[in-house]
Amino acid sequence: MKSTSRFLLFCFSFFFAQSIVAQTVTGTVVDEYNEALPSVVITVENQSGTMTDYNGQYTLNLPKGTNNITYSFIGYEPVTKTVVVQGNKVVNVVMKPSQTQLDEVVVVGYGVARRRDLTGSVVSLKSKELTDIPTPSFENAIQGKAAGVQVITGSGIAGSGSMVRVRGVASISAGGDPLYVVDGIPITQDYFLNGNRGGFNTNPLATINPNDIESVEILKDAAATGIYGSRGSNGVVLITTKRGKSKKLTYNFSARTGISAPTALPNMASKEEYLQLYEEAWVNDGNVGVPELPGNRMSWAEAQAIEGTDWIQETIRTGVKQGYDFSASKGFKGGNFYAGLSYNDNHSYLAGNSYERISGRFNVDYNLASNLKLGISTSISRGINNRIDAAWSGGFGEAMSRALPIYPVRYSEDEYDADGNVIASAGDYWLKGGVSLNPVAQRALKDWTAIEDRTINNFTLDYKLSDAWTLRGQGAVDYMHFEDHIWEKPGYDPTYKDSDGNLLGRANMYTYSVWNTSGNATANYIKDIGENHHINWLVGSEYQYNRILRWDGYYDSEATGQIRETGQYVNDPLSYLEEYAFASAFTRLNYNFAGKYYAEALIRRDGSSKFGPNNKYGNFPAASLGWIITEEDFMAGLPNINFLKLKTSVGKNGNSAIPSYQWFGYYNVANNGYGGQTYRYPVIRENADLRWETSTTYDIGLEYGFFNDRVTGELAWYHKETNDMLLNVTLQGSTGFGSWWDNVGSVYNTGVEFAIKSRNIVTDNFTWTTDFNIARNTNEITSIGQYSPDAVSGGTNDTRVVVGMPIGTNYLVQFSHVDPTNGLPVYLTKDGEETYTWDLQDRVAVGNVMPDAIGGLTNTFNYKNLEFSFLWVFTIGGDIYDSSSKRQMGVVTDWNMRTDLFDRWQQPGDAATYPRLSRDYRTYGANTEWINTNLWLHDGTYARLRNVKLSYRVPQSKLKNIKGMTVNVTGTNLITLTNFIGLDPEIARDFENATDRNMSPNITYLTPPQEKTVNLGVNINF
Amino acid sequence: MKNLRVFIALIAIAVGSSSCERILDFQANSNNQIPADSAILNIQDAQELLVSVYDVAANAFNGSFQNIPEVMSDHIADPLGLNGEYAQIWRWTSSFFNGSFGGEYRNAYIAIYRANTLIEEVADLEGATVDAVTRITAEAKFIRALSHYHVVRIWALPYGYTSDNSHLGIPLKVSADQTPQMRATVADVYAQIEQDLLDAEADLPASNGIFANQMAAKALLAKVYLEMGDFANAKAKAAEVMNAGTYSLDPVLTNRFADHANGNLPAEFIFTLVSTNESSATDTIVDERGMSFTWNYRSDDPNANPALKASQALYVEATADTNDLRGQLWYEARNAGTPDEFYVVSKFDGSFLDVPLLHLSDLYLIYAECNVRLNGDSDGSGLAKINALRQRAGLTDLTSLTLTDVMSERRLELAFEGDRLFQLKRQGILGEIQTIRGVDWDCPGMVLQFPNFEGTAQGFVYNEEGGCN
Repeated sequence: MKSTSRFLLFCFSFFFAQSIVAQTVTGTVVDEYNEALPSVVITVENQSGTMTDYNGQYTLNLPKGTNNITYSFIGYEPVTKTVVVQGNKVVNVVMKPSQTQLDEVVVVGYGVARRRDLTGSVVSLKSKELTDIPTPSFENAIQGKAAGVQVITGSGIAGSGSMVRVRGVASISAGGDPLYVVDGIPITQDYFLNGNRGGFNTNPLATINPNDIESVEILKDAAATGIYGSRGSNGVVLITTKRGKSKKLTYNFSARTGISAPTALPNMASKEEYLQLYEEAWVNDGNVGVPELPGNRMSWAEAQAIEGTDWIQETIRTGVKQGYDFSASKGFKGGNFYAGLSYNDNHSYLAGNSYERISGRFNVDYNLASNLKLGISTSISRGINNRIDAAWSGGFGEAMSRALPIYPVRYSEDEYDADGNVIASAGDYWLKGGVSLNPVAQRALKDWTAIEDRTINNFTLDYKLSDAWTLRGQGAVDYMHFEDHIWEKPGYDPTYKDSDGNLLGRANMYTYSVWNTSGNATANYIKDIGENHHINWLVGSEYQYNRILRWDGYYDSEATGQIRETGQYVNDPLSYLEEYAFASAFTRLNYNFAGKYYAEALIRRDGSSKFGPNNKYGNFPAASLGWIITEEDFMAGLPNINFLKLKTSVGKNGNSAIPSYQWFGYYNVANNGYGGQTYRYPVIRENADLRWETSTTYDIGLEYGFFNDRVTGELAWYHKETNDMLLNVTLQGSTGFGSWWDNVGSVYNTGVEFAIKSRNIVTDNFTWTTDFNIARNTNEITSIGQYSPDAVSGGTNDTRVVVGMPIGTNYLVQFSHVDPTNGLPVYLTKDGEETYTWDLQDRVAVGNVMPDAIGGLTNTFNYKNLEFSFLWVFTIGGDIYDSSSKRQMGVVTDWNMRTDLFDRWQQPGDAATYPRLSRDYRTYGANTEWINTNLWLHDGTYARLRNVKLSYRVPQSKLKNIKGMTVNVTGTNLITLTNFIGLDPEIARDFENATDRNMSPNITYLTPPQEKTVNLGVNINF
Repeated sequence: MKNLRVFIALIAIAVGSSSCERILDFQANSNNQIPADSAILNIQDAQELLVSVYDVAANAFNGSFQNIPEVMSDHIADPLGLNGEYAQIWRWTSSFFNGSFGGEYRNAYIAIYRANTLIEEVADLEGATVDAVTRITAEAKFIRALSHYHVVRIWALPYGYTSDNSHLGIPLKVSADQTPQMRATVADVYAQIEQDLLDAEADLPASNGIFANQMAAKALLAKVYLEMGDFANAKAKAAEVMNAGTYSLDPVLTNRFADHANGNLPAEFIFTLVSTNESSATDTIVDERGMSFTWNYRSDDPNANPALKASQALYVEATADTNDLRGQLWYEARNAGTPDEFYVVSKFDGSFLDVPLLHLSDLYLIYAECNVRLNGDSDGSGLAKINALRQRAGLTDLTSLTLTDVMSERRLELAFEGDRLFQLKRQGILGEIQTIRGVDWDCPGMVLQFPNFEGTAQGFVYNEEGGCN
């Protein structure tokens, strides 16, 4: 991994170049794999130095006598050789990767930098850390590895994504996800392009092949994100794809296969349990006689006689995964290339659900002239998602709710209507309640495939104008085309027939395309003035244009059978077109004095089509300072402290992730209104002042290295204040408008992050390394302007925006206890008085879905060729709202119940958790069966063995014709420690929009739990 | 120097690319969207905006607005089953998440907002003539008053509940300004309604097609004065309309809710929200404005099981006199004689119903009641009005008139038109009744809870919840 740095450093290291003089000492510098190292800086005490050329060769002209020659290369341990020069001499050097991270090169916005030179807060994860865990999408692998970065894997549905939050959440209605940048290009990352159809948000990152990624950098503070100006306030994730690095043609092949199961199974009542509970409710309500079942789909006697169905088992299976990656790469005189092909097939544990990804990548760099380099990165991928209904939409969700255990999958005998006609034959699907009450039939009678094609391409031209100036131009196209095909077979809707009574099918298609084009031009000036003054100045501009097209169509509804194959739409009007653009100019100045004192100042000016004419442009400055304390003389007496850097930054960022056109007020004109007359009316209020949400971030960090870098890490404190929050506000009804986007109120996030890496034991045969990080974030809304908590609802999730409370506050009526005398639920009023009445006006802030602290612990053991590592991730505090349990454990309705209800009130004196069963919500003092209280709110603390991996590197001596081979076995999510009584404590349901996504992680609504997997893999280099 | 030139070139590129407005200007791509600042420029635009005021008012008064108080009153049978929003209203347990009436509330204020926009802007528009400005302003004020009036009756305790009417009313919107509004007092709300109607009365034309005319303002004033207990003014306004010579009772009872083709409205109708169902060679206009009536009551299919059915008490009273055509034509007992007997309402059978919000029968009843209250109907003019209604209903004349007679007649005549609850509350204020369907007439559930989107303004005070038990 360090060797890639070579490429990244190619320009950077001109910085160190010195003029070449006559020759006496020559040699070649290679790495541990005997590959030539170009651009190695060679210095000689009291003499002129040089650097290696592309082939790792160098020539030095030295006086006779003893010379100390030092070879340095970023990412490698420096080597010093004492050479006695007498005539020509050959000195060949082998350099080993440095164990310290301080010399590694990290990608920053519009450039690269040595970690030691950074004044911003950046987490860098390399390829190995991103692929050591088999995840469907790369961002899942970040979890637990980056301090202050919360990653919640949403659900067990194949193709689902994660929720990534950098240092808390600072947005309410605007997107709270970080900005994703691939090879310098901000990519399309809208989770809501396909809504939440089927109880699932598509993941725009899923088509990116994790194996193509060389590194991921997460920029956290304003010094780092500032260069992304208006779009950096929720952090920036920079993704750099692989390039050719080895001089030899190198092939890599890896294969993986595995199985999966849900991390938890719902404890739904069996048929007997269900009938018992139902009857109890019937009797409790004062009913007499034989109970009537919900919907009267079967009689009590029939229900008792029937075998019953375990719908959970009918909707799950053992998941099977496989993945194959093949790549070839080579560096050559004028450049390098990397080519990769990948196939990944992920069948989740949900029956009928899979995500298949086929992707290819080709990256090439070519020197057109000695001072002109062309770089091209191109990828194409297809994601094929065989979809199922989930959560509220059906399938596993229905198995946890309305698919009652008394319902059969199929009729066991012929079914007659009142007149004696056969309406269903034995073996037919039981569809008395429609397909939604029979998840098996729903799955069988519906073909649902989503196909996403994506290609991300960019080209880069680097022109070295002079020793100091480098110009760069970059152009990119990121194109995405998505089709959601839904085919409901004849019989899916038994009432949908032609005039002859033949059942008809129904096909729908939802399509969108996103064109995301951008270009930028930068100039970089790198100059040393004298020995100690180092200047790096960047100036640039960027333009990005996005165009989103959407069509909804359906096939001819009259045809039967083959309509899907003929595929002719009867209606596919372009139903939506959205355009938006950003235009920006930016500059950044870095200065350091003698590698000891650092300063950076930057400013970016952004214009966006999304904002009103009064505030179309915004300025986003940032400044930072760094001080490497260990460079000071007074530290020389403390040899155990080998590195200390203090850094601080302040800066302003923005967020503009809102839908287009929201500032724009308009009227519609329509014909044939009241009285057949033409009429016009206002639709949206104009908000010409609509502007960026801005965050001002203060950051202080301390990087440390002790005992010659045996212990390294970072401690950071930050305070981020966000103002002018973009809110999609529900307007007071009496204004005459529904909702609009407004800049309202403020929130702050403040927190500490601590990361430590310790190489506990280092011997020739055995090493033990521990990585640990923990981050605590506090979030508080300090103002929501003139609005009340109900102005911004958290979708359907009962989280609210309450001043003085964190974003994502559970705003609920308090449940006190079950009255032992009568079994009725006792609630608390706003003032804390007990009441039998459930009144929404008694809602108070009772919980918060954001955790107090998050972190991860990795231990890695190497013994000879064996490596064993495991990663625990943990979340401390924060609440989970088990939203569907109010129906599974509340009023007895047409939902199945959970066996938690065994702890219910049955007779006077019972001290029970759950009240007496009833079919009437009025028994519970409510006016609805959707009784939200904090009875369904649970502590979200958990620890999870996210990953455990054992790998074995086959000794080179046993290999013929191949360079290396590793076999491994990996387990994910094998152990979860939690007190949560629901399914998976790490959960994010499907969301309706960005507000919902920001405010309601840790809310579950029939959400399928994550998977636990066991995988076998092999990796071969040749 | 070379560096400087590079620098200047780069700055030029950077500034050039970010200061070009055109590359950042995108507007929603739809043909019929007009930017707000150029949408209302001339008097024709204002007229089209005015049509939309009626349009949205007609959405609110398509039955939805009328059904809510009817369901709260004693006219509707228990909507069996545990769910449904009408069921919540029937049980007087509405909460602010209850959605079905949130739309009506919003529609009323959308109409008010548009009316306010017209009132503020119409005088400055291109082509604004004095006549047009006067008429458009008057129509806007009429709709503003009509909307405020219906909202205040449903969402606030009635006029007279406190002696100075200082109890909370509703947000009172008299400008297009978007600042959130807290609830004004009932006194202030009624004062504004009265003022708007007096202005409209002065400025509306005598005849105005399907839109509001001067008589509509007078008729609504009569209703408002009655609500305020100002019987003298109520009587006077009712008399002005009755004596105008323009209106007469329609002899056919079932014409009250029917499809009157091509706008040939009965002479009884003073202000009507009309449905349109017209086809020509070039165009088909289908615009149905009585949907919430037909949707919830319609029962001409013998197997119909409408959501709203008549209460037994009302059915009994309406059919007590077997000659009463109102009982015969507007009700039907189903499953008669069985324990499952129920009573469907046939008043709204049909489609493309025109909805007469103000009609002469109502004014007759107002006039008669006021005359009884003011002077015991000493001149018999109230009795004459009641007898006119009775004759049309196929009943014999009364010989004298009591308050009970008038209120009973009112109940039968205006059943399901959204009138009953307010009469009961009015009588509650006057101490003439104590209960509605067995509970205190002024218990918390008798006013509807505000929809939750009204409470998005900080400090907004909701109505008391807790039902009526």
